[in-house]
Amino acid sequence: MKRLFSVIFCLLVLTGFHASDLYCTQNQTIQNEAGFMDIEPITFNFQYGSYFNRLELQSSQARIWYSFHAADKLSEQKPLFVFFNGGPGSATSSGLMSMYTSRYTLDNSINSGGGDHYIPNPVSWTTMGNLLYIDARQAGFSYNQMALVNNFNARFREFNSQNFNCFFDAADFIRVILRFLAAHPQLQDNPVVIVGESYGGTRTLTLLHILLNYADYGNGREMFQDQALSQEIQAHYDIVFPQYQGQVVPPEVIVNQFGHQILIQPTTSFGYHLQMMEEEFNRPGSVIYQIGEDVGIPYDPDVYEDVYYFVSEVAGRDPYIYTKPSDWLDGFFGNAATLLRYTQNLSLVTDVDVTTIPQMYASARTNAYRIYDTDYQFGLMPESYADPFVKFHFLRSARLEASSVRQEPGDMTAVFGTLQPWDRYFLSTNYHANWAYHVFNVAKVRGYDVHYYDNRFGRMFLQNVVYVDTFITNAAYDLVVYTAVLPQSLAKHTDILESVQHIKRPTNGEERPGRIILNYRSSAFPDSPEIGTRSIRFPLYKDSCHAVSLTQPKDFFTDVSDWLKENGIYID
Amino acid sequence: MNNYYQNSSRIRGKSTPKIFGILFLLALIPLGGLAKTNDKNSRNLFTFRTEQQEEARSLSKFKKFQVELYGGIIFLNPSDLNLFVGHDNRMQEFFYDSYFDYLVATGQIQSWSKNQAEERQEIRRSYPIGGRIKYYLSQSIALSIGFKYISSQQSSDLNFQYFRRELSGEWYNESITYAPYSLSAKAYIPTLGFHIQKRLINELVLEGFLTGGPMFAQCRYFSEWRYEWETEGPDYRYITYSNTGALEENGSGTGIALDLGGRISYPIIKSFAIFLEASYAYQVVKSVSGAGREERDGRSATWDGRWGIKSETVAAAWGALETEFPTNYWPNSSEEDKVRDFKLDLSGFQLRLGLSFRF
Repeated sequence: MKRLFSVIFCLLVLTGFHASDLYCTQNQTIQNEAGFMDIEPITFNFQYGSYFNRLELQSSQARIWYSFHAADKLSEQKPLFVFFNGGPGSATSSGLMSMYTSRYTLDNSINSGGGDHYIPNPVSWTTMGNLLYIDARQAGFSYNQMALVNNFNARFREFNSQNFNCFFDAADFIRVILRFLAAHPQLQDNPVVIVGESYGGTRTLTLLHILLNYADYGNGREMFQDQALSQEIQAHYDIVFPQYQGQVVPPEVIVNQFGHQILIQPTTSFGYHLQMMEEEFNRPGSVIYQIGEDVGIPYDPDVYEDVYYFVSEVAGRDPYIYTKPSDWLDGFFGNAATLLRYTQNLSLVTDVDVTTIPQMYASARTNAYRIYDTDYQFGLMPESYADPFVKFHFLRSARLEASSVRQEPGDMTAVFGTLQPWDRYFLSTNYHANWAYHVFNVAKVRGYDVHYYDNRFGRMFLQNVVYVDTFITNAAYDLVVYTAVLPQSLAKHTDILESVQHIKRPTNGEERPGRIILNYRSSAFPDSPEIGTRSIRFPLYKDSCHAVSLTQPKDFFTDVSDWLKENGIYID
Repeated sequence: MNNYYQNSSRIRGKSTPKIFGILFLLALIPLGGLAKTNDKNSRNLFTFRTEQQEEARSLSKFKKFQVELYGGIIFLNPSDLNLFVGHDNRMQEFFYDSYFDYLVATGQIQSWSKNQAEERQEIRRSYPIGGRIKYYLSQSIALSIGFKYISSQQSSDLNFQYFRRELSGEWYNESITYAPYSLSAKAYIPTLGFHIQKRLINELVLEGFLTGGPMFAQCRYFSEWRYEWETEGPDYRYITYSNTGALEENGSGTGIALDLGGRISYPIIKSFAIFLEASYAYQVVKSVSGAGREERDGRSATWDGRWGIKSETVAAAWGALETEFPTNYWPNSSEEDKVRDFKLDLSGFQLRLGLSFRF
């Protein structure tokens, strides 16, 4: 008996040692990290093949915030999930990083915005892989730098195409991902799964299109030209795909690394999508009419031209989740933005002592700027701005956040020092940046397809889907990106697709069924072989808001996990 | 008669350069014509003798050299170089006028209008200057060595202003100024020439000539621009964005120049005469290469390349435009868009007015 106990004890000890060794090994090699990735000033241009009207631009120097969370185990063998929110101009830190993906999260059971502290996440994605959260340029903790930083006009000029357009934004993310991978050789050739929310859909499709067709973004064939980026991607592929050393790597090979995208309520072909949303919302009996009936104020599109105004201001519902009162989801983003301004919370969520990050300190950011107007006023944005979608996203939300931005709650000033008036430690959404995407955008004004409503992005998305496995959420209560009409909006690309089917019944015994079947035309893309059909996983989240990971975290986690396994990604 | 022939023979026997032998033979043709004329006149022996004596006298005073200086005008069309103008005009229209029409048609803006000052100009004339020294083999025939310089520049300051009314009611005022927008070409042409002439009434001399030589030519496209986008609302107005730039492409090459024409000259005092020439000049360089430079917003790039005609298809949301333009910029794979080599063609009809001095 004693011998048996001894054997069992030894086994336990050995097992324990083994597990401990394993844990220590992975912790020693790949640690959690948080900090800034430097992006030098980048010169790029937009062109339609002519020197005439070619728009050459140079960005500000940037420090892009990232937070890396190593997988719970076997991190070197696990994929890298790259998370970002949208806006454009919105932070990932107060978005996906705070909403049931990393080890700590806001509490979705507390309706006022998630409570006064972060809680452990029961469905942390670190069980599936390594997580990399990135705040876009000038959003969240990321900040730009420039020489004439105290000059209003110089700052104002930087909030334009040279720092804010869909292509350069995607290029920023590629640079951060590739540089992060280069700094972590253990992960350098691991599969990368892109997870983008909302405008993050446009960011994902642009990022993937550049990665899959990188040579054309440096040789004059594409509208956006960034030669340095094209070379940086080639250098990365030279390491990851050595058999193609110095050659242009074809997309079907590249997808061995960048072959999976998870899109949460995304903008993809958003120009067509908005058209379909408008048609659907104005259809008698639509969800908007139902909301009107619920609150006893009939909806009439002739009276309420701006549907978001009706839902939010008249019916008092949150367009991000129309079963909840106005600002319900903004409450979570706003609350995360407040909590993350405390170094203790930020250190908890990132698992890094953020006081050790030198670029956080005011002394290291003498050339930093986040906004052009030090009062963060919105006088330059006319009330008469015509696009209801942008208006909803911009003016209203900006006013909601403005006072809290000015006050800079938290302890960062005490810990890191007092910033200059045009700098901020954190901006949940940088509306100066957002405005630059939509309005103060010389590339857009000069006729380049840089706005995410442009059909170019839908075509790029459909081209990516030929190679990239795709998962898109279909949240029932989200009116901002109303995904119920997403299949119809993709079907508008009649030059590429013969037909689009939305299959709502389970095909594989899924608990939350849904697939979009795209039937490509044989002439869909020049020089492309016969494509046939592609299937997009499109599960319905019937209780969900725009931020699906917040409202149905477990279901979302389960579906993603199953889908990744189906598609050959090692996550166990 | 003997004297005459001896005299003539003496002139011919003088050590004329051999290379002019062929030209001399060619000169016999018009001389034959002159001889026929003299034969007609020989019916009167007295008259004939008098003319012969006068000619003999004049030959004894024969001045063999003549210096000529001239200036004038060439009506030309360097069509490949001028492609810049058509191309830039079409691009301007495509990226502004057509684009704004599209924005209006698709309900993205309310309306637009424009003001334009000046226009891009093609090169259509040039102003040659030159000179030559003629060596007279006889009263009627001369050979020359000369030099011609032709230069042409079309430069203008252009300004386009576009006013677009946004759906919000704001105005976007875009202004693009090209100052200067210029095309230029010049050539240095050393020439050898062959001239035949005949005296007409009242001391007027009619001459035909053929000159030719290598042509060392240069061309240049230079455009310096400033773009400004101003936003204007009910009570505000500010520059939203501005930038500047310049594009310069230079080319040079060697070709052939031939000039065939005629002239009349009229003596003014002693050995001085004025003349008016009309000719057609073939002046073509078939291979041009040179340096280029582009500046945009303070950043500059330079390159060297051979000029060619590039085809370009610009496809934007509001349409497509196919066009051709000359360039010496061939980055990466764009060589495949080359339609043909660039030809600097400065040929054309010329009128020249000049002054000659014979000694």
